[in-house]
Amino acid sequence: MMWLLLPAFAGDPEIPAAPTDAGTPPAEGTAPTGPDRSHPPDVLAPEPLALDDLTRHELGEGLDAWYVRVPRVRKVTVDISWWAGRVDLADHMDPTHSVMASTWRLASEKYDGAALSELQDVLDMELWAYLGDHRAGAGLTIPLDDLGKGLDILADVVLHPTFPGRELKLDKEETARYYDILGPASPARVAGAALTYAWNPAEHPYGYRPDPEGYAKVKRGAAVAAHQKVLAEGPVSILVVGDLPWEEIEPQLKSRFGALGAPGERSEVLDAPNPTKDRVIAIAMPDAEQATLRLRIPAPSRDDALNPGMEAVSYALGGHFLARLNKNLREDKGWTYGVGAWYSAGDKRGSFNVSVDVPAERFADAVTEIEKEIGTVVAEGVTDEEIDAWWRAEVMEYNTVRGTADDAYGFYNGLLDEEETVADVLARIDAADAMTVEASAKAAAAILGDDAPRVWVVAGPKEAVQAGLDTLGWEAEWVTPRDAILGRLKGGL
Amino acid sequence: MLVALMALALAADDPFHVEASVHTLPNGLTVILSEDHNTDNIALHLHYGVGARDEGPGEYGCAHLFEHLMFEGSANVPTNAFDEWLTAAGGWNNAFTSEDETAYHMTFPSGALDLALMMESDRMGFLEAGLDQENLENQQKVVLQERAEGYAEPRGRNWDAIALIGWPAGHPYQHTVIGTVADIEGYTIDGVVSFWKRHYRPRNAVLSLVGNFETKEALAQVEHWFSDIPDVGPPEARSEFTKVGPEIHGDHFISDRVEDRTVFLAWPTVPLGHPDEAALDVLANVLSGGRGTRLDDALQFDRSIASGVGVFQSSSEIGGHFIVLAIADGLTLPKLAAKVDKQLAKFAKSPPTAAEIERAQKAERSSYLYGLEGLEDRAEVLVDCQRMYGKTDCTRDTYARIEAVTADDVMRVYRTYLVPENRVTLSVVPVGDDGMIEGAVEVEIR
Repeated sequence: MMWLLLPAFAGDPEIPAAPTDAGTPPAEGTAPTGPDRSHPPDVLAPEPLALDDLTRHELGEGLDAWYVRVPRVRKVTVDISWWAGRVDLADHMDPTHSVMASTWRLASEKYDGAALSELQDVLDMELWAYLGDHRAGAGLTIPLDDLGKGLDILADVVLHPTFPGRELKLDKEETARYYDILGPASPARVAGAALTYAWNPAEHPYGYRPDPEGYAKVKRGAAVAAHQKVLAEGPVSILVVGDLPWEEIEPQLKSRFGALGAPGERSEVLDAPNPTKDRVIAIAMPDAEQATLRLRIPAPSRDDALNPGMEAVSYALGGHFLARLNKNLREDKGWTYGVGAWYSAGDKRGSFNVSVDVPAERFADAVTEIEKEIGTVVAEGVTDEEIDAWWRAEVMEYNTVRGTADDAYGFYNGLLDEEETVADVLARIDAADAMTVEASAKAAAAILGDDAPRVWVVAGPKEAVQAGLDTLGWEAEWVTPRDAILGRLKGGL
Repeated sequence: MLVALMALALAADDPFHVEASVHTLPNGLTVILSEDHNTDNIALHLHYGVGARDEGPGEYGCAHLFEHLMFEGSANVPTNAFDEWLTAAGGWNNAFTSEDETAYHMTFPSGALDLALMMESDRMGFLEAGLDQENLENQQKVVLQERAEGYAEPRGRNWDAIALIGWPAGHPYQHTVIGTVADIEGYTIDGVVSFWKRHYRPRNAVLSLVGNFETKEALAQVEHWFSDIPDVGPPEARSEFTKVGPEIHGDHFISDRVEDRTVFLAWPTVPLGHPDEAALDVLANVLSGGRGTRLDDALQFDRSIASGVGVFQSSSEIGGHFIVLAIADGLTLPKLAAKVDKQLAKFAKSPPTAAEIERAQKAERSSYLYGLEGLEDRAEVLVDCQRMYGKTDCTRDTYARIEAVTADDVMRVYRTYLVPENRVTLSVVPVGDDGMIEGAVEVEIR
């Protein structure tokens, strides 16, 4: 498989349309002939666009900006990040920071909740604030014409949030409602929560368990203090993505956010243990007819040599409508509306995941078929055709970057988060191009073999699920839907 | 020359402007082409003018079934090859069905345009070869499972219940898009083939392409691949049932796998494109659009009577509803509905301010502009504009109608349509709970 890197389009971002080998209209005066449908037309290989990289601009000590101009996107995105997150700021079970993050963007000194809500409608603006494990942030997206107004609002929200009592009360009520009512009633949410908490032990900082009672007791003063702690913590970066020159945005950032930032390093991703043995968690859902299944298997981190092979395997198993698991369980058996399977790779570890709903009486059969498909890729790897399709899908996804403001922000935010460049992304696409059947088999065997620990979660009607467990010869930990939502699991890794 | 330059400059400043050309092939297929060289990809959107409203007894759910059968093979594209070939080219696809239409869409690298057109044209002209008993039975199972998975989630049956009670008996919208279990299990291969022959034809379709191509070459490619699809004439006339009124009023309920109670209040209003649609859209936004709007503040943000509120004008091609929904925060639904009524009565005495109207208008503007950003959304909007209004850039006109709405317009549509005698309610309560509106009749969703 060969492809050529396009010449840079920095001066003229227009991309030439692909030449065609069909569709030539008949010459004048000749009778039209029908198209040749005896075989699928040739497809030209896609080519990755030449995208500009982020450029770094120092705005002060511990404060930098990362900027890229993306032609013709309708909105500008400005996203401020503190490179410290929940695991750096608090005891990992302290709900104060969650309350702060949920209510940060809802009211500020100059704008109450109603005003902020109205301004977002009137200015076609979206505001956000969040707190992740290793990063906190706040940002906006807005049309260029109103960028100045938007930045004024963002500055007030970022620096002077008020955390009014009414907003805290509403947030606490909504949170309680989720843990008491909405979460436990949903098979998908229950199964997803159980899998997440089974993956992260409660004693690890990534194993944060919800604490509804503690959440309800958080006071306004604690939220204010938590916000001040975020502002004081570590270095700050401001990401700017939009169709405007750096010279236009730089003074606007400096005047509003120039005092942010502190010397220091980015928060480091922590080592986290992987499961070492198989585990099955079962959740009885009253009146359910479906079995909601989730599977997770440890997989390599982003920089691991097996990563490209695992990406190929994941695509072949579940990356599209006719991926192997979909072909088997949906198209051939008709047991499900669709199977999701994906590989998630982080800095220190990763996981391979499968998600499917089937009629409850098919639970054991579905597990057997999933394991059968995994066993086949372990034994044989994926095919050349699957590798080629995966590479093309990767190129197409990369080529969406300039489609919308959201697409562009998503891509460049990923680069900033992972400290990567466009060249790194292209190198991954190259790795996909160079992937072989043998390398995919090696990755599958190393990661998904029989000895790899599996965490299975099944939510469904108790009797049918127990029958499936008996068929499989599995012992399960039974938990209630609410305990699953709250991560109150009995077993450990 | 000067006029042309001025027009170009105006177009460049107009955020609603999308450059597109419209063509009609000899077989009647409408084709819309819009270049976008900011990407290497192309989005294809193909609308068929067939939806749930075109189904008769024994066919309920059939338009949606074709969402599945269209991928099971045609004369020159073997079973499963549609997905296999498109995936091998790096593309992806999907489809959706509503009361009024079925649409198939895909996105792919520009070098796969011929492949996409070959496959799309093959199933438009020659699908019958792939319609066999085995494929039908397999997709019946998948559709039954799709329905079961949707109904398994909390609130998964709400909208089907609204469809059943929101339209009078005999109305083309008065059955669910996906069909009942009996409907789905009852399809025959002869019935399915007959349905396809009546609806899937060039004169009942609109195709759009948006992305990295040159219009002249792309048009030649479309003409090439669709040239052997015969013109079999226009589709049969669609049902234009327009009678809505008091006979659908009343209170209804469903018991579902939910842990909280929700009440829906619905009034029959107007179809898409009706002169009152814009004012109803603005009314909905004034009542519920986040903090600072009437019902949201009164029921949710200022007082925790409801944990969620939604208000919208839902317009389809031959009818529409104005819908208010509120999720109870502990109250029984008679009490919650009374609170909603009280707020609506207060609104009658307190017309919207200029600021409320402007906010509602701007929220609509954002939504329209967002719909023009991505390739796939733009391809769909172009098709919808062309088929509904005969022009590809209808969003500007649609927004102009929104922008022209006054407070008087809002109060007029409020008084005209939100009348008690036309109202229908749906209570959604947990199994075994009796917190529904008194006297509500259970809706049977089979």
